[in-house]
Amino acid sequence: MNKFLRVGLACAFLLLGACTTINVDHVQLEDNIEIIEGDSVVILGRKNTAEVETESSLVSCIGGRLQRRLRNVNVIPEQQFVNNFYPWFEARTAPQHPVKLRKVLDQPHVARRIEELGIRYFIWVEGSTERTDSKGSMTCSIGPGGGGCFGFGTWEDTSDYETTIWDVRSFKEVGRISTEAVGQSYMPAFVVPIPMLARVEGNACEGMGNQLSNFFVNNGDGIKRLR
Amino acid sequence: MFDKKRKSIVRLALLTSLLIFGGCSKSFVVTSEVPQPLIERVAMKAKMDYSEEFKNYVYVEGGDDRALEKVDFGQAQVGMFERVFSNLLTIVEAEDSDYEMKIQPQILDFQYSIPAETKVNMYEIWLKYRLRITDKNDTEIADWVVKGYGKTPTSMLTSQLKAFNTASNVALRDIGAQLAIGFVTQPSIEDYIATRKLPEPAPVTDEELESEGDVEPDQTPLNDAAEVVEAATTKAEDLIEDKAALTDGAAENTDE
Repeated sequence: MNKFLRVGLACAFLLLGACTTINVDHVQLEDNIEIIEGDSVVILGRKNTAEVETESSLVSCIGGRLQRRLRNVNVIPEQQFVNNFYPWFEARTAPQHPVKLRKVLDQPHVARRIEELGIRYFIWVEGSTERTDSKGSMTCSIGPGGGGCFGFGTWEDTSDYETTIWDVRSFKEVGRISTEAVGQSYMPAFVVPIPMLARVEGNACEGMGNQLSNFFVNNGDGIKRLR
Repeated sequence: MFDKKRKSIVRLALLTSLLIFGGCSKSFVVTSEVPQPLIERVAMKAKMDYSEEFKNYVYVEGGDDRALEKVDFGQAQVGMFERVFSNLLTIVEAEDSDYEMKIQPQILDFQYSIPAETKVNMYEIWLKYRLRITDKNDTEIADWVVKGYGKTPTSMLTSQLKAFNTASNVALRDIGAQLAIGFVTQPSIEDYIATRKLPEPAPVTDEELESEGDVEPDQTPLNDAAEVVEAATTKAEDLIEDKAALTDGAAENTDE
């Protein structure tokens, strides 16, 4: 009986559980671009305006996903890179276009360090996850005899990200990925609140990370090329 | 046995008070974490001139309803200026008189906002500095105003003070970045550096290095100014004689 109850509960969670819709589009702008074993890529979040604050957790998540898929390529963590290249990649000073990156690399110190680290591609992530809607209410109370919550709450989170890939050798944008994810979360409460959270940012990371690593395909001799 | 129990009760009470009052702390010391800048050093000796007010700067909030009443910012801002300028210029000690430039920073404005006040999930900091840059004779080279902004989003497991410190450091990094990149491109500073820069000697070519060893007798360099004058005079006399001979020859041809 217990087994049936468990399966029933699991099915109910699956049916009623939070869901996320994700849409990933990609554009490849250059052919015959390659990345070889030992090359490095860096993934950076845009933070150039008061409104734009790409989450560091998302940037780190994409980096981790890319590193797992491309074991021969070194993915440099965002904060480590920004600190190593201070003050050239701060919110105010970071290049907004590949041509501006060339100007930054005109600085001999910067160019030397980029070469030392073997950085081949810059991957810029711009966007954020925001709460776009919320409904319902919940009341919680506590007294000498105990406490509990009653009510129902639901909210919608939307992720909107644009990822661009710059080639350090040609100073050109070579690829672009647009990701949009919408997720609805629920929280019914009958004495105990039961959160059913939609992993909107997590799913956006998964979509972007997979798409990014799909750009790189192994041709069998350890050399990975952009498709 | 009883002492042990009493000690643990006292510890527990202290921990509880820390948890209760720690979260409501209204004064805060900002710690600077500005990294070492990756910039080209300017060959110039400079002195940093921090006033006592600047070194011990504490922002005191006038209103009663603000989250933070006192923000100790002195150490953090001095740390940032030291980090940037010690990588950009050769900084001399305060008592040293051998310098070409004096930098006097002054804080003009400090503002903050926290999520509870703005309903935006961001801790934000605004900074404004004035840098008075003078030469050794206290003649003004530049009067430069720099504005910085820092923000950090709220996070579930991050305390308010930690988030505030992060936002302050982002603002300090912003100021530092502008100083590090913009210092040598400020027109008046650029001009001053250009006037102080000694002309570099022309690089010696490989051919010059090779010919230095075996110099031909007729190519012996003239080491003395008198020798130069003498050689020039002899050459001028020869030219006058040649010209006279040519004039005579021309006259003879005309007569014919």
